Amino acid sequence: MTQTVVKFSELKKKYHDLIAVNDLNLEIYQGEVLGFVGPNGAGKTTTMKMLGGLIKPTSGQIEITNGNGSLAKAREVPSELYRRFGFLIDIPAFYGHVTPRKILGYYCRLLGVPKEKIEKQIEWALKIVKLTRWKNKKIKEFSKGMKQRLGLAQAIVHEPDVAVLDEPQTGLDPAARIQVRKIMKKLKDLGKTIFLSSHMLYEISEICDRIAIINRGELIAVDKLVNLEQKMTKQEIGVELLEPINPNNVNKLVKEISEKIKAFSENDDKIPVVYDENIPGFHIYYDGKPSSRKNIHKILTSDLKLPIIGFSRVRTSRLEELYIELVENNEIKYTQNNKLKRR
Amino acid sequence: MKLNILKIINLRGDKLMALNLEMKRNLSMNQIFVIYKFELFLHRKRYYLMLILGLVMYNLTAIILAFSPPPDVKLFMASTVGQIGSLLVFLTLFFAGGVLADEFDKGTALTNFTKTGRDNFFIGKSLAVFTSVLIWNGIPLFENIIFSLALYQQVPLELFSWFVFYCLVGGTYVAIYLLFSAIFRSGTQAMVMAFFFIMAGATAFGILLGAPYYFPIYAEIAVIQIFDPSAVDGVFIIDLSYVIIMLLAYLIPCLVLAYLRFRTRDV
Repeated sequence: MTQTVVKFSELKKKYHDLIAVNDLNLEIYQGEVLGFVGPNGAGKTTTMKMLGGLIKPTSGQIEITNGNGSLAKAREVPSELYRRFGFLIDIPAFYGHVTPRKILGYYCRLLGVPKEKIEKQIEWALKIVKLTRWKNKKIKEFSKGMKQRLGLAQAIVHEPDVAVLDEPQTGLDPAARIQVRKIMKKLKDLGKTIFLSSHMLYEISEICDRIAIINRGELIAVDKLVNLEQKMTKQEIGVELLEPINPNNVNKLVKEISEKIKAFSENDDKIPVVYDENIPGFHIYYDGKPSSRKNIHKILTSDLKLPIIGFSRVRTSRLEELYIELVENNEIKYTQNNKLKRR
Repeated sequence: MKLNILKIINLRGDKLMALNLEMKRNLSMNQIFVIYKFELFLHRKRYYLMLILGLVMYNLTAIILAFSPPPDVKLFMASTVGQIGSLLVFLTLFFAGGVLADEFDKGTALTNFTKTGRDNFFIGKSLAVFTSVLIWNGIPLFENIIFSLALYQQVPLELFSWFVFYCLVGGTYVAIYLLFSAIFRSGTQAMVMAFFFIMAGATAFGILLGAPYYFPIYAEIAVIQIFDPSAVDGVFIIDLSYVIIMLLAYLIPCLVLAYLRFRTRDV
């Protein structure tokens, strides 16, 4: 049975008239990587701050694992929260005139890491974030990316069971982002639970077991990516051809395919087929049903006799589309509710 | 009506009990000690500066006086330790002015408060700041013991009374600074406002109430009574016990309010 390590129940945070988080119900299971996705101001950081005890919820409760398999209110077991959880929230800030070694040592002592283990833990954390060379340099000399990596180091230095990471890739260059992704994969391999919020949807789809989408403080979806994809009304197939199509024939072919697969595409006015000369091939948008996919394949190969060498569902853009679709639907619902309230 | 009052009292009692329980759960002597030590380490440069300033100032005054020493050891002390009052208000500002506000302003609270309870943090930091007052007052105490032994071959007990009294004065300044630091978002803003309150606001309050005891900086004038019990400040006969009560009346509420504000503040 999967053990719950964090449970948010009816969690709410209000700032005067603004509801930052609205009746959030969410569970995080041991050993999983849960991606927390949403637009700016959706309530991701507020939720994480409430979990870390940085802000008080207006109502609702947060329960965390207390080590023996049962859940306890986070406020009642603060030492469990400090020791079992590691937080990287927002843009991390440190006292400028100390060194990473000193600050990590300070955190280790605060968290009760045994004296003889402190140096080892510091070395381990700095090695993971690749800051070993800078361990004795003052933090004020660090770049934004280095501070972000140090932020990650302070979150894991005491080897917590749960890492709460709020947009850990913010402000990082592509190389550093890859490095951070590798760190998260390493933590996942170590069996750690990760609660990760990010704008980098690709990163999320790469490492997360489940995804929770939040908008205007409300949780609008939470499931495995595969299951969420099933719920999408529109899905995409990437079709790769052996060789590019003669430019003069592209429009005619696109029109022909569109006509033939019309029954399997969404009921909108958009053309369900787009030719991409970079592949070379097509992006085909359909209703997501497995039977439709089978039929489209048959039309392309048997009816139109196209030289297809690749036929697959596109994953990298899946989450982005899913995210946009869910958030847009939620926005429409929100606007309609507001109009009704005004009436 | 009676029932309502009882209800209110009951509610308050419950809340206080809950607060007390929560504080007990969060408190950890080890964490307080770690924070205290780190805070002292963090301001290492400030302590060096303070030590140099203290040594230079007292040595200079004491050396000048040593050339033509006053006939009484108490007069000698009134001329040396009586000088540091105005510096104490700046010194405490230096250490306590932005100590809490900066955590929020600079964002270090985001990492620190996920590793320790705010109760521990507040106590650890406050103890470190109070230590700076002890150190600062300890320098003239130590030097005056040496000078009075060298010049007068005796150490009057008043010197130790002065030390305790000045620690109370410094502690009061610290408590006021901590309160402003817990309220304001920016460290600089907290420092300016608290300093203005001590130098002008509280003074105006004292004048308004018609007695000088109501403002903390009066303690710097009143200190003279420790060495000369018959001293007057021109208008008022100085009563040191009043001054002590007023200092405590600032120190305790300011400290409690600072703590309550600090622990409930959103990051």
